[in-house]
Amino acid sequence: MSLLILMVLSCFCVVFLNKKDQVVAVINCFGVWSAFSLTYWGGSGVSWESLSELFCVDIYSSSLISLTLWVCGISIMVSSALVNLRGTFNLFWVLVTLLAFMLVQCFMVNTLAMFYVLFESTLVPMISIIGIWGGQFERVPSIQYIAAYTVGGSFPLLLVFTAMELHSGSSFMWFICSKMDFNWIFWTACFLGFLIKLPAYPFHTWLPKAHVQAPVGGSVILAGILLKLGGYGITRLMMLFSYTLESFGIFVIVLSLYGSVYGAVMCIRQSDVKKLIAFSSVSHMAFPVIGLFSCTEVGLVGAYIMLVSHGFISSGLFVLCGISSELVHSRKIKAMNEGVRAIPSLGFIWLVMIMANLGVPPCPVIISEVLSVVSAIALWPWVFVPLALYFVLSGVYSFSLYCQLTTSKVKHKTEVLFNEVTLKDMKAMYLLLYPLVEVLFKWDLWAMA
Amino acid sequence: MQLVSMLVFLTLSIMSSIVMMFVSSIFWVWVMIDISTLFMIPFLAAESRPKKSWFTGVGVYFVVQFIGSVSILFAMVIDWAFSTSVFCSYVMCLGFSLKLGLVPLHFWVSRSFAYFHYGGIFVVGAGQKVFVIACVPMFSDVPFCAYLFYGMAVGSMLYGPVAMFNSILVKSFLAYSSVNHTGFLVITSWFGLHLIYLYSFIYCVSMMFLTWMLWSGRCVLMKELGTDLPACYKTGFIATALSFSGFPPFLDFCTKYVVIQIAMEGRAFIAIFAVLASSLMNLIVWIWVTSLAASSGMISSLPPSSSLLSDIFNISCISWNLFSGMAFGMLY
Repeated sequence: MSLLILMVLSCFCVVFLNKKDQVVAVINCFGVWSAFSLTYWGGSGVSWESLSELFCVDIYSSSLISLTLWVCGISIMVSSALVNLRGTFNLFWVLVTLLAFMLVQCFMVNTLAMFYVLFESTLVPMISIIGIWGGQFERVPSIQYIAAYTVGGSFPLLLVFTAMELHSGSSFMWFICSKMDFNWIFWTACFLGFLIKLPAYPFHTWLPKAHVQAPVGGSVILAGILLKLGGYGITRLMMLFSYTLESFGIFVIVLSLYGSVYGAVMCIRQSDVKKLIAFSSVSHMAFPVIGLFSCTEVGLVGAYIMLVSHGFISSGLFVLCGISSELVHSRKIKAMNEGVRAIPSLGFIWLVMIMANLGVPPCPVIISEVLSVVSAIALWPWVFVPLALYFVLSGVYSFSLYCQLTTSKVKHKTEVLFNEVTLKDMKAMYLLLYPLVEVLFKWDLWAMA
Repeated sequence: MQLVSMLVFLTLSIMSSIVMMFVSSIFWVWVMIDISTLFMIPFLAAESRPKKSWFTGVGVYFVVQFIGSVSILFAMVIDWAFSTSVFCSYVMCLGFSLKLGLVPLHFWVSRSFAYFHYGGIFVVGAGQKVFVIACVPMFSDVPFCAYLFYGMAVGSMLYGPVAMFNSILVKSFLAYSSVNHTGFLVITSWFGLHLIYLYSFIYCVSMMFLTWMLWSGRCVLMKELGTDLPACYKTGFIATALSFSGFPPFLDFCTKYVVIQIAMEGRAFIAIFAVLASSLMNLIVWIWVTSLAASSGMISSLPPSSSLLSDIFNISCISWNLFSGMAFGMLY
């Protein structure tokens, strides 16, 4: 509650500033809120914020709250190019702040009903951002597809918590472990909406459409934090309904293993950088699914390391994609080649982010992948075969991307528009790399004491 | 003068409808329904600049309502003469379905609405229906009629959004929206009249905002909604459209959630399916409408400046759609 009050009061103060100063003020506010949210981190058990009647916060919530505030601040920072596009930029930061507010509440509420309402409400600012600042004419059908897919997929969850409220009078989801035995239909109803949100294979088709249509700031938020809602929801429902290793979970793990390889193969074939990063997200999100549904502590820790790290890394990749595409006004890898080679530091940062995405040590993604592999092998040893194939394929598409961006084989010279990129965009990159170091040194935070 | 006469006839129609709520005999219900319809005709026919086809919509509306009333009267006579006959229930069910415009007897709704003024669309599409639905008998003696009636309601809920998506005219769009919501009201009547009254009030207020905004822009074609809609009402219109989409925490989500909750309590799984499927289709349709409304240039200032009354209306519309849902949820 204290964080929410701080957010509301800060926004109220920002309203009285000069319009030009409001953007900088909001970015600074996000920094302050992120710092404040770090006080919620306290290891196992609930934090001091849980004294409130409405909210309950533990390490899983607090890590995602900090990620939310950090990523949303970055998305406003990198959207400076939108000043030249249609509409008013003030509307953009208002929508992003509103989205951050809803997301923070979503990670803090202690009833499933309120969680569902906020989970669905986050779609409204997101599709508004895509609809207003999206690049292409096809954004409206894409918005319809995204909204219908995610809302439709979460209807079974609506029925679950409605039934819960009818039978037990409340959908309070903390400190309760259900002792009932549930069948696969129930688990499907519980987890389908979150698997779509993650997105887990085969419910991933909305993500590439969304990223292609969204502006840079929208993609940063979508990849950085909105997808993590799915992982968080799965965690809470597993705790609430005492999920153990079920046939449903094994089926989901099998699909995710296939999805990780599928995503990597699709990445190799992409010429659009945004689609490549989107499919990379699909294959990376297989690891939290495997970790969570394996019902091991190791898997849970690996899942959350991946969720938090991927939030920063994919945001960084989209920021880089935004910077590079603004230089040459194209999202094609071959067209970006000129821009990347014209700015060597950009090429270096691309290398760092691609390596981080690949999971090269010391990036925390490698810890997550190792722990997820351990949890998967605990189920069945031969699981390492598709995972090994995934590691090889992810190396292939990562190096392919880097080589296409930096080697000079382009026959037609593209004009590089240096004035389209500002120093603010590059600063955003550094601000995304720093938290990865924090995650690296605190990777055991999600382990239960 | 014309406005005064419109108001007089509208008031008489509303009074007849209110009296209808308090009578106990089906005969007097029928009388009051017909009186209400008759008083509605001059109100619907009033136009400041009458076009050649002014009578088309009103004529279709009157003929259909007349056929429906005749069916109900015929059913009553059959019931008086042959009290054991079930034929009267079928005819009465047909009569009420025709008057309400439930699928597949909805053919007249779009044809009429295309020629009504926006005030007429609001009264016929939102206001009048609740009185008729509240008076429909339960058909407990012939369960097949009850299943048929509610089956038509389910069909209306599923068909309405599909037809809305294919509408070219704004008034046709509102007609099929009315068909959709009529189906929802009939489904809701299964669970209790108090819920109908509550939802009808909510729906009437939302439609009042919507029809006022469309009327002020003289909107005709769906594809020109972005240019026709006044800039000062765009945010209110978008709030209304998002509410009708079914996004939480907007109003329409809260009302549908209450109905789903009651339906789950009564194990009415078909009703739950109908509400969810209709909501999903409405989501797709109203996102399309929102994109049309926001299509012609962005709002240059937030909020756009206009007259004080327009600003108050706009803010009231946004507040109604955003906050009333929570109030409704707490009340219920």
